[in-house]
Amino acid sequence: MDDDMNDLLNLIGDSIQNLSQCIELFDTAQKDGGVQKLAAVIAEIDEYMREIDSDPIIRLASIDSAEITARLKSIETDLTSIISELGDQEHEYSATN
Amino acid sequence: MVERSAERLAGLSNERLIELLRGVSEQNGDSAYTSHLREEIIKRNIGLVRSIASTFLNSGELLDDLVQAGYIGLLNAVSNFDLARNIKFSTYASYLIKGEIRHYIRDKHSTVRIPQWVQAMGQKMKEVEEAFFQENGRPPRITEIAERMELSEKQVVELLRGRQAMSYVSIDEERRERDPRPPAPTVVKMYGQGVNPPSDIQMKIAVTIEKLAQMQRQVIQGLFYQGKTQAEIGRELKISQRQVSRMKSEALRAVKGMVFGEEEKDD
Repeated sequence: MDDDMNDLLNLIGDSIQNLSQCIELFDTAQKDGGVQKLAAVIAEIDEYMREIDSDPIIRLASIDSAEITARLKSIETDLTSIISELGDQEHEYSATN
Repeated sequence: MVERSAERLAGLSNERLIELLRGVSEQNGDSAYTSHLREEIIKRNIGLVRSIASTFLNSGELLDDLVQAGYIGLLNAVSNFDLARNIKFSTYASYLIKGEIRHYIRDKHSTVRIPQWVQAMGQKMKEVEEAFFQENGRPPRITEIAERMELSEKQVVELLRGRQAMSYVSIDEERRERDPRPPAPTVVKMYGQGVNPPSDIQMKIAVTIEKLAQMQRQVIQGLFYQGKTQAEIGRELKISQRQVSRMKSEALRAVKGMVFGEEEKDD
């Protein structure tokens, strides 16, 4: 496993932190910043899934890596749909103005 | 008519469906059409109920039971949604669905398991208080309760504190106190006039955070509560006990970092 790569716990911790910041950014109408945070989480999950088999935490905690991959993919899908919903809203807004 | 309208309804938003439902109900119109509209709203929001219910699986309740409770919230949302407010139906429904599921879980699990003897003492104290009031027309003082129960004043004070602490406090206690099945709060009550409600987007992000948090709990449970020794894990993973110990320490440091917001520093 690459030394710079996150293990699952770090990935989850970073993702939760990024998503919490994302909510705060949307609260203060900083949409671009929020979208960047969402994109960063998706990128981190992508990177992690490429090397999931070498994550020692998965083996140590006796977790099924296929199950974790499926759950992470579902989270990626949720986040992707949020980004695309935000894009649609922007499109609707420009169409009505 | 119902058959014909099915295709037309599919293209309408939740808000528009509710508007139609209200219109037909107010005119005491076609009851089959009303049922059809209601079913359509429920059908298209089943996913929302299931998704919210699944975030409460760590309560130990079955998903189907949580979904059933969530349906009540959804039905309340259909009945009480205020079309005049600039808020999406799904935002309002999510709030009520969560509320009903939380209420269901609270009903099934006492927040604090009260030991039998504490319950018995509490009951005895209540009887003493009632009897004293009947006899004297006023509530008893602590010394008077202590005397009747053959306890010290300190013990009575502790019992009273315990009773207060174990009183069940619900976020909507006041609402439920008056009526166990009260009408759902309106959007105005939820957010107040002039306050921006949380958007659907923020709620969806919050749901994703909850999913991650569940995964985090599972990992931590796997790491620290399997009941296996480090030597056993080491044998399974074909690594040394020392390596297992180091990996666990690193994981623990990561968890501490998450809890306290910063990485633990090595000495």
